[in-house]
Amino acid sequence: MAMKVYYDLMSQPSRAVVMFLKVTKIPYQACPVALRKGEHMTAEFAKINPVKRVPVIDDGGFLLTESIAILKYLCTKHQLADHWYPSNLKQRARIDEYLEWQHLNTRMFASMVFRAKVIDPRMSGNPMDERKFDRFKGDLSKTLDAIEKVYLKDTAYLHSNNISIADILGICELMQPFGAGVDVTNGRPVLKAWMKRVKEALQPHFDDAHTFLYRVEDQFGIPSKSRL
Amino acid sequence: MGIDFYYIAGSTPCRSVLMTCKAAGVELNLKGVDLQNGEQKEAAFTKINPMQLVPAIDDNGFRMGESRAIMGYICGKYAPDSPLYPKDLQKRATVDEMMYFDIGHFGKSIGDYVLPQVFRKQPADKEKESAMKEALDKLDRVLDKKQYATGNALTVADFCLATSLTLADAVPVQYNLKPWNNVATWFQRMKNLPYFTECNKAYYEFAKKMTSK
Repeated sequence: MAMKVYYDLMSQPSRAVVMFLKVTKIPYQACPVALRKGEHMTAEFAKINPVKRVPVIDDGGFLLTESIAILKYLCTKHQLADHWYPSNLKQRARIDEYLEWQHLNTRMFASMVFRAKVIDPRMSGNPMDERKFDRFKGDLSKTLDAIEKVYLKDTAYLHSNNISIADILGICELMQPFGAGVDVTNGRPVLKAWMKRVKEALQPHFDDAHTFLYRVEDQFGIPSKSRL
Repeated sequence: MGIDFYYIAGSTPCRSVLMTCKAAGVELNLKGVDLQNGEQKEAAFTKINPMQLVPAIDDNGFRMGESRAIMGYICGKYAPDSPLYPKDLQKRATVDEMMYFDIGHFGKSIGDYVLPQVFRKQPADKEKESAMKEALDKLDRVLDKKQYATGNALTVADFCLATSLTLADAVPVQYNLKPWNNVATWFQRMKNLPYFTECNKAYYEFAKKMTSK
C-alpha cells in the first residue's frame, strides 16, 4: 500500500514534500486537504494528525508530521542519493543548520509578506495594512541578505555544493512572496542564480507544484516575475 | 580540548543544548556572550557564528549554530548509541517531528505570549493566550499514554519542549497547567531530572529580575 500524503499546495512545506516525492519518484497516494475550506479542522482529520496541520504522511500506519522530519525520513528510508541529506556528520549538520534557522527567518517573513498582502485582506474584507506589509518586507530583506552572505557564500546551494532538502524547502518558501508581488531576487544576483539553478533541477515538477501560486499572481494582476 | 559553547544562561535554545550535554555526559567549555552589549555583532563572535546568534559551538574548529542542529551533531558524534537522538528511522523521525513542532508552533506560541510581558511589561494578550492554549491542547494529545514526548524514552525533543514551557512556568505568567494533565505530569517528570534546575534556574532568576524592576 502506497504511503498516503495529506497536503495542500497553498502551504509551502506541503509543496516541498510533494515536489520532493515527484522528483525522487517515491510512490505515494495523494490526499489533498483544502485548508481554505477548513478541512484540516475536522474531527476526522484530527484522527490522522492531532496537531491539525499539513503536511502529514501515513506510511503503512506510521504517521509523521512536520515537513522537515518527513523529508529527512524519506531520504533515509528510501536510501536516496546522499546529496539530498548527507550521511557525513558535518555536512549533515550544515544542512540541519539551515533547516532550523529558516523557521524563524525565511519561513516566517516570506509567509508574513504573503499573508499581509493576499490572505488577510481576503479574509477580513479590509484593504491591506500597508505598514505591516512594509515591515515584513523589511524583515524579509534582512533574511535574504543573510542567505546570500552566509548560506550561499561559498556554495552553489544552501550550505552545500549539491542540491539538498534545504534547497527544496528554501525555494518553496522564497516563491511565496512572488504571490504578493515581491520579487526576492531583485538586486540579488547570488539568490537569483541559486533560484534558477534549483528550479531547473526540479522541472517539470517545480511548475506543477507552483500552479496555484502562478494563478494567485495572475488573479492579483501581479506580473509573473517568478516564471523563468 | 572539548567543545566551546557560546551561550547566555537564560536563553531557551541554549538551555536545551545544556540539558542534552548533561544527559549525554558531554563536557562543554562555557563561553558567555554579552548580548546586552552587542558582543554577538563583533568580529570575533561573527567568526564563530555569522548569524550572530546563540547558541553556537566550536568543536575543534568545526563551528555551527542552531540548537537542534547542534544537539543532533553532538549526539551523532559523542553519543551515537544514546536513545537521546535514536538511530532507528521511525524513532528519529518522531524526535525530529517534535523538535520542529516546538520551534514553529509550541515554543513559538509560548514565546509570543510570554516574552512581551517579560521584556516590555506589556499586558497579557488574549489572542496570543488562545494560541498558546491550543498548542498546549496539542501537546497534551501527543503525550497521551506516553512518559515522554515521543514514547517511553527521554530524547532531545523533550529538552526543547520543556525549556520552552519554562517561559510560561516562570513569573510573571506562572501558567496553571492543571487543565492539561498529560503536559503537567510530563513537565514535573522533566523537572525531576537531576540536572533540570542547574540548567534552567538562570531563566527563572532572569524573569524574576525583569518583573521586579
